Amino acid sequence: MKRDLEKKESNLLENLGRDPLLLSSISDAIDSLVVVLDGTGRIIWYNRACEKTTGLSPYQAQKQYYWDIFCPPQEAELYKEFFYSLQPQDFPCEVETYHQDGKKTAVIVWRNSIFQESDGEIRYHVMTGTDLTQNRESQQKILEMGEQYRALIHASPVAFVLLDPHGFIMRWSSAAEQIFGFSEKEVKGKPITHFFQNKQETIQDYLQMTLGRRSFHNLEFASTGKGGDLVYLDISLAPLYNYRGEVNRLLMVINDISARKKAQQQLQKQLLFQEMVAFISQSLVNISPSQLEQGIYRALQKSGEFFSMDRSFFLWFSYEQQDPDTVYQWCAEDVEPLEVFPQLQLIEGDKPCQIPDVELLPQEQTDRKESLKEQGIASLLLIPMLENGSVKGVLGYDNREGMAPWTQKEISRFQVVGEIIFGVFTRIAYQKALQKSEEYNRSIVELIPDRMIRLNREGKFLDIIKSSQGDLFLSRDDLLEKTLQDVLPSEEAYRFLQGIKRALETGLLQRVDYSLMIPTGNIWFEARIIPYGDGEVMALIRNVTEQKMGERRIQGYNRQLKLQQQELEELYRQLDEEISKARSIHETGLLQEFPSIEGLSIAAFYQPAQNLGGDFYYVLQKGNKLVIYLSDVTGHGLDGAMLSAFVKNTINSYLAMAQEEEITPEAMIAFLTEQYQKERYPSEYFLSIYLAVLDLMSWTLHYLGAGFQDFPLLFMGEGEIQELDNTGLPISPVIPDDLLNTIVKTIDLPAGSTLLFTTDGLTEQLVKNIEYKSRLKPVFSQHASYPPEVMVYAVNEDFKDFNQGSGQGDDDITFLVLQLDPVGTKKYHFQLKSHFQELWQVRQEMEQVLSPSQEREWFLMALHELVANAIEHGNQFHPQKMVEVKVTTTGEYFFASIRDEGKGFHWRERMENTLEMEGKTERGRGLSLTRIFCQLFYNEAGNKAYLMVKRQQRGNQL
Amino acid sequence: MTMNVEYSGKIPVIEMPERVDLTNSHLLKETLFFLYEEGFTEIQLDFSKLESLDSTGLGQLIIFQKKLKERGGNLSIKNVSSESIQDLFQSIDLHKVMDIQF
Repeated sequence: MKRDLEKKESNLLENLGRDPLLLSSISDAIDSLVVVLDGTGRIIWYNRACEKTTGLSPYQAQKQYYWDIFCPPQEAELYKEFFYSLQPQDFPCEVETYHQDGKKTAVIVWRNSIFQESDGEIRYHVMTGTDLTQNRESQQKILEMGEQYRALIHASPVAFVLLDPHGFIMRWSSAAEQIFGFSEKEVKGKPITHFFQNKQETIQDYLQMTLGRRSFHNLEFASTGKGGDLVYLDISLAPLYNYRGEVNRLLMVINDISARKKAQQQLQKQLLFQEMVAFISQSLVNISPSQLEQGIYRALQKSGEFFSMDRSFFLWFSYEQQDPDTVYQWCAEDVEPLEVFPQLQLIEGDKPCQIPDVELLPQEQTDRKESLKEQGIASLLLIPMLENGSVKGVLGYDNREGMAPWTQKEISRFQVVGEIIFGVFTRIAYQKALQKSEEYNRSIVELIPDRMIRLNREGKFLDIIKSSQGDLFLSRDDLLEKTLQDVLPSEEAYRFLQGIKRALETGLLQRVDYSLMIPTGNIWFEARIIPYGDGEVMALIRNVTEQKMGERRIQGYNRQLKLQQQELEELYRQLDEEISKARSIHETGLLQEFPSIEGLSIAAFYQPAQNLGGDFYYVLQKGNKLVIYLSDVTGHGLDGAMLSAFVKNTINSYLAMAQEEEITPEAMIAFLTEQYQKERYPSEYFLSIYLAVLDLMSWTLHYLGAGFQDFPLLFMGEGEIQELDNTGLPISPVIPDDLLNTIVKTIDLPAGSTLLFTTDGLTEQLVKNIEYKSRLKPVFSQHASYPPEVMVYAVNEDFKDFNQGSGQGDDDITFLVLQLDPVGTKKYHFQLKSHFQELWQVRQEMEQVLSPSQEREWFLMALHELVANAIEHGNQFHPQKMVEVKVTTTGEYFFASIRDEGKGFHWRERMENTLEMEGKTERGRGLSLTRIFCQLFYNEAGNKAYLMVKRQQRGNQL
Repeated sequence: MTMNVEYSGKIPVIEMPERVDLTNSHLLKETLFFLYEEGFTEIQLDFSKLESLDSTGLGQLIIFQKKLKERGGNLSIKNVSSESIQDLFQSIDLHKVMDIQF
């Protein structure tokens, strides 16, 4: 049979070969490529389809090797080797070539067959090729599409599960892995119902119905994943068919809707919460105090049930204490109420305290754990309610079983409930307190004796809070709608209205007194008016008649007291006047101006410790005798002054009576002692005196002291300072005369001698345990050759420096300086009228007597300035006032004193000014200019200037 | 009445009398004021005759020096012959305020 067929084929081909046109026509009619090769691979012929593929006509392709036409150049050699390696037994065979056609690559599958010679040699290769390019492209597209679907399924959040008809899992997408937590490998071959524990039968029913060619959508099921979490699923089921149209698989599409479901549940819960809050709010709003307890209990019940708690409670703390003083509690059915409530320490600051599971409390809170467990509390939530930063209330919930931790949102819900309950409770509590306070205030108001009325700006009575009957003598009803002007005398009403006006303007309490005349007399009221509301005032009216009467009595006493005080003041004034007069007398007796004695200069200083001093000095000339004495008596008041006056009068009496030769120190002291004893002064009074008599002819000094411890200092023109020490006991009623010192000492004084007499006030001034005495001698020594006025000034300045800036001593300070003019001393005296023309008189005269020198120019310039000041500022050009100028010149200095009759001035302040050189003022440089060249100082009053220019030297420091 | 004024070029020179003090310093003031009002910025004072000067005269010098300086000018002193005045000026450092020729 086979042989027959082969023969027929051979014959056919042979015939075809003889009729190429017929072959060509046949082969051109088919779509397949047909190529006939010789045994070496060269193309003998190919059909039109090949022509279309290669673009070459059969004639162009003839004799070319097949691989050069149909294979890419890089593969031609490979194919050639393959071609030659083929053995006859290898046929028929298939081979694939890729033919590059422009940009496209044609894929051709060749089926090769051969025609062999009878000797077995291959004569022809007949190749029929099928162009698979389009097929391959379709395959690629299908593959790509499959990949896309796979990727889509893989990436999709929707899970795809392929089930076999029995509901066993075949395929399981990655989303399914996500939802259930199992990999495909883990679930492959397992029933899908496994994932729906409670709904296995339902799922099975749906699977069966799907097998019955039904599809289902949006079936909602809950399932538990690998972790045990509940997931909500939206499931669709559809049958899949095989090529025979039979359902051979089921596709389950699963969508995780847990989030949506939870949101729905939360929304639901939120709605329920809102309902609960609305319920609580409605039941508590406007609740009366009597219903409060019941209202709060309902709120606790409602919230406890809502939050699925066993107990809820509300605690209120009225003070900062650990135990609540108000407690409300609700318990679920069969739950025992708490007897002891959790302590406040559990709450830290304003944060809620949550213990979801007591068992999970850390080790360090074992005590707390045990305590809560004892109370049957397994979970606890405490919400603090704050007022002014401190915990005032607590809303608490607890459960007998542990719970999951509350979220912040849940806690905020608890807080809302707490705020409502706390707000209501606080309101009621404050209402009660307010009520109590109002009652309290009312009771206070009742107790206040004042009447209260409310008035407007115009004085109209708006309200009588407490009866004012008796104050205005009208009943409450009579007063209302009336004005102050209606019920008070016009003057009183006006004053009351002014008080209202002031109160409203200032916002401050105003007091107005007014009175009413009644038949029994005047009644006084005090109205205290305070602003109250808009343009209104509250007036507290008090009957102050008694007070007024009292005040009047006191005023009467005051008047009496004032009179007495005035009398006393008058007495004091008289006394001061007397003392002043006494002081004046005392100071006048001290000699402000000393007798002008040829060849002698004297200056003295006196500063009482109090108003009146006990020190005294005096200088008196009789004939050729000059008596000088200083006394110091007991007492610094009138007694001291009187004793001083006694001393002066006694000595003056003696001098008046005595002959010149009888004027001796011892005679005068004896007389003084005798007179003193006669006067019978009290024994506690002592009298100390230093008495010297200077013979003006011989300049012999006789001196004697009684009770004087400070001896006069003497400078004799040159050499050391001496002390004239001669003293004894003071004069006193208790000291016998024979004990007194009567031995007089004598010394001849040369020209230029200077003597300083002083009482103990100066020398015994104590500063820091040092007596001034230690400084006196050096100062005396330094200035002994200058005029006595300069000595006085120098001692005073030094004393001030010693006495911490004060010239005031603890005791009277009295000293006197006497100087015998040095050899060559000349004195000049001028009395000038208060006119500038007088200036030249002094200058011209002095220029004539003083030889020219630089010092003379300075002295005259300074003198000119000071005299000009005395005329202009001191006497103010007064025609009746004079300026007295005294000039003393020695070989050592030019000295002048310039005294005007003015009031003086604060010379110390002015002396501090420096010379003004900036041109700020035109005048006022006189003193500062003078001080540059001269030593300048004034008496205390400032109306006598002292000026000294040292010759051959300059400087302004004394 | 004013003091005698000569001119050195365009600069007025006031001849100071023997003495300037309270009694006549107003003359110096009037003379200086007149020249100042005339608009002079430079004024000289001839001290060759002056033997005595008090604080009022000194005050006028200082005041007018300030006025002229404010105008950009100067008050200067020349021919100070008196030793006492020389000594005075040196003692108060007047040369720091105005030009002085001894």
